[in-house]
Amino acid sequence: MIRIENLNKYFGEKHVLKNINLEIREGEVVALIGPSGSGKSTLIRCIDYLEEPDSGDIYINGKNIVQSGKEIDKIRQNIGMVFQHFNLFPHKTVLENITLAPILTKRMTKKEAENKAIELLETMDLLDKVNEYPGSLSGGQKQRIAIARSLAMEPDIMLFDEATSALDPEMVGEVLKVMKDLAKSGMTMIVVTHEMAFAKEVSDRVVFMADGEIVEENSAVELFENPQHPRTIEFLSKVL
Amino acid sequence: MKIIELFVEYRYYYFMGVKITIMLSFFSLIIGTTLGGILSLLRLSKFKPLKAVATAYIELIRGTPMMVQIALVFFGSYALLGLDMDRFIAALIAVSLNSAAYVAEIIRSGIQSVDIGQWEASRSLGLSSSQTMRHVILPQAVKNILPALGNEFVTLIKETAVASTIGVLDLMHASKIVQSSSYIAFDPLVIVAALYFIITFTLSKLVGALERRLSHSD
Repeated sequence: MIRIENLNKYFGEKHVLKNINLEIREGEVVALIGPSGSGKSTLIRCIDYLEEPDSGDIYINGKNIVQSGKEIDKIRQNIGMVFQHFNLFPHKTVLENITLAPILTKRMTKKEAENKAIELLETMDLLDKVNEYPGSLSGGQKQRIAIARSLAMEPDIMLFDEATSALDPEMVGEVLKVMKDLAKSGMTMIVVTHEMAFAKEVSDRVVFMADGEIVEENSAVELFENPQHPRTIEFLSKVL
Repeated sequence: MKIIELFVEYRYYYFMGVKITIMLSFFSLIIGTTLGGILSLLRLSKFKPLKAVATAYIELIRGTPMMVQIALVFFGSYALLGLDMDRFIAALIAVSLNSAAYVAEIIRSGIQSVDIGQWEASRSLGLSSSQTMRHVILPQAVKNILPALGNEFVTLIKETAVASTIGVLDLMHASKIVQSSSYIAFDPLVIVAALYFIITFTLSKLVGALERRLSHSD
């Protein structure tokens, strides 16, 4: 479903992604872990083409997104992205935040989009916020609405870029629960996270990155119980 | 009160002046803002030559006095193009071109003040760059720049007084007529100042009301 081949990315002189190769199958939940500055956020942002790779290819459902020109908009409509800082549209109500993209991209009529939004808000227990503006919501509520906004496009793939890192500790649980439910529903997910317990419990595969390289990847159980590479062992000993 | 009598006696000139000043301001504001919006997008464009042209234009306009610009348009249209241009039209062109440069800079700063995350979130949902600009970035930018824009509009109204130097029958011109026919130097100026103030103050209040309406989402 996603195939990354020989991906390289530089920020100025700094080589932040070094020849990355990675393949993700349909329905798989992959956690990207590693110390800060290891390139995991840059990698996930490349998959949504928010960062332009310097070389290499990224295939989504067989289509190369590198140099895809105008077609990138269509490809992105099938990829949901959840950001650390939510990035809700502050000038729009919760309902408008969720329905904007489905309506503008002509995926749904206004009525269909609103029904879809209400259905999503109901499952997230946020129906009472439908006409509020993001400014009046807590961080946990904002992030759940950001997830709903992405899901409203009915994407095949969901990307989470440190979705819980900016939240107060007591709000992390409510967002992780939504992510867990989503994983159980069979969604293909790539999750950049510092929540090791979550990575261990929910993901099918864990990829450990350091210094712009994939150091080790394995099933969640194997990687956490039986890490092979010294850098993985060192990292896990610090965070577990 | 002598000053009120003076106003009543010459009311025809003052009303005429108010009308011309408001018309000149209103149309310059519309044209200037439209051109300014386009200029700001050119200025932010990744295509270097367009960016250079927009930047040069803005610097040139900001670096020369409006009084010179207005004379250049009026006399230049005759000297260079052989046109006998209507004074009002010449003033309209000059004020619009002038205001476009200032508005462009205000809009540019407004666009840049919107968090990059807004752009990324919108694009990641699959919206095109023009949809993102129109539905996500510009509404937030406009809200941020409304005070600066209001300020620019007030300045524009006051600057239209320069049109009187090429003979446009605006409010400033009216006061000159009253001065020379009544042989009173001071009082006509007080009246004209009060009239300018009423126009600009009304506009400030309108912009303030708009600001309050747009701040509902905070």
